[in-house]
Amino acid sequence: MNPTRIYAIILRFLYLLRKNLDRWAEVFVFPLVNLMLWGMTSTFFTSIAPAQSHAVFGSPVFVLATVTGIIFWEILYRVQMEIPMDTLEELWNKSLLNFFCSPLRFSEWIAGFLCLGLIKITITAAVASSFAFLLYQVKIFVYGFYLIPFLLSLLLCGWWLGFFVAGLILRYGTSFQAFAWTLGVILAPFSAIYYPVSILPHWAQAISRLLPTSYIFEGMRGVIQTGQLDWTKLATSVSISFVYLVFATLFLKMNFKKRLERGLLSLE
Amino acid sequence: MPILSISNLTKKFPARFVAVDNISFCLNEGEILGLLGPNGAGKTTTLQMLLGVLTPTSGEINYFGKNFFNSREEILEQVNFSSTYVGLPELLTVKENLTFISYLYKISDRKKRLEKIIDIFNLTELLNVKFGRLSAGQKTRVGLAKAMLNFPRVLLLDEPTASLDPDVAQYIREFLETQRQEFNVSIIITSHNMSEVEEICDRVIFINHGKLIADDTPQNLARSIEVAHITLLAYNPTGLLSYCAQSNLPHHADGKYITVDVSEKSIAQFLQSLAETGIAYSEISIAKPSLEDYFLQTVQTKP
Repeated sequence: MNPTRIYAIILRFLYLLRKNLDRWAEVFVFPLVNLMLWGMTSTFFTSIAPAQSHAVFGSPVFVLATVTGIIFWEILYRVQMEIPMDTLEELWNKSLLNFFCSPLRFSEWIAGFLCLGLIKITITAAVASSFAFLLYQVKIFVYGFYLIPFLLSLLLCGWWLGFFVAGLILRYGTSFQAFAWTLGVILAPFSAIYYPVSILPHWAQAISRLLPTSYIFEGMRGVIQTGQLDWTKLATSVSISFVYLVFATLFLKMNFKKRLERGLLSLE
Repeated sequence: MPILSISNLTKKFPARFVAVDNISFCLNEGEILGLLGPNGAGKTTTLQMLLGVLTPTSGEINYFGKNFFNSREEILEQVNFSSTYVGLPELLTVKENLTFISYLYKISDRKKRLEKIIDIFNLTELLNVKFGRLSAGQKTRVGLAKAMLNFPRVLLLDEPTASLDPDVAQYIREFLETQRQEFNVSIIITSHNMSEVEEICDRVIFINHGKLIADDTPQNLARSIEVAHITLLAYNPTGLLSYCAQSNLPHHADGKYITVDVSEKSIAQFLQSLAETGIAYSEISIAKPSLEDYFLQTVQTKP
């Protein structure tokens, strides 16, 4: 692995981020809209049933859990979109060949995306948690190190989801581009973002148990409600994510190889 | 030893369509090689395989005496390409594009090299313009600048002068010639501009239906066509046209001028026949066969 070539991948997308309004909307507008929408909703429910919502660190627990859920969800959604969107960006510009006709290795291309995921998670977490504080005085990092393991598990989730969709795009081209922004949404109802898995119908619970996201969001709520980290949930989410990440990486690699058999130039 | 050698290269696509059929050729150091053929002949497929973005079904590619598939990274550090079919990120400026690509190739004296390339391709005024806003000709220039960033020993160019104004195209041809003379760069070029290929290529590979049809100098290929084009301004065009029809000579009229295709060996005999038949003319020009004639004849006669 060559760090200079990985830096080239990162640099290319940092240049893009600087001047692409769509990318800034992803970072600022959508988290803000979601925070306003769901944060206000939870504030309203708290006001009509105050007895059901005790305060944690000065915020009603219902508001805190909802707002933290939104922030975590935004982080996952933005990270998982990064990889397929960056791949699509090259396809739309017909510029993917510039990378693979260069000495860049496939693993370096992947490593570039992993670094971009880290950058995205940092920016999104900072922006969304700042909005949460400004709008609702919710300080999610009062839980300190307890939430960080779940954030890292979210990062793994974002990577494997992103690799899976990027694999589909490399194989089938832009006809699969809609997956870049819909796959995360499809998984959302089963991820227990705002509610526990137990209230889902049985068939949905079965799906939910296969998703590391459900353990992350339940674990996150557990930290908020009890102040205790559920190591089992954390370990389960990381294990499932890790297994899925291995499969998604192999899927991406396999589809890239398949694409090379048909020619990278014909990919559109 | 050739700088690039291709042996028995074949590409079959899943629908059993053979795009490249067992071709072998080589590229010598400092040579400019033209890769010619009609649309769909297999030129771009061949270039894709030479760049490692299309897996061959069989065959071998060796750069600098090393197997391409075993030493991909080391080889691609010394190879580059430019193609009309490949763009650069449109929202990035010219400078940003050249900068991030310079990191892909790990260019050591990056700043100096960028300055030189910007100067050579006269890109100073375009540096802060987004690639997507450039004209087709400007994009081609930037594409060529990108292709020269890593001091390539082998340069693969797909239609490098397409969409360029004639003066810029001429400048690019001169630039390629200079690169070859000064740095011994070896170049493979595809082009539909036959006079350009005749002007700059030392050798031409002709591909049709995936098969290698010819491998020779442009001059020899043109010479292999025996037909010359005789253009006449006749006093009695109708008489000339009927003479051509009776003698089964291919011909076509362009205004007052009539062009007759005659075997090079029969030119004297043809002119003598015209004199004997009493067909007089005020102007005559005889065009020797060109690479374009070779191209047209080969495409029309070899399925």
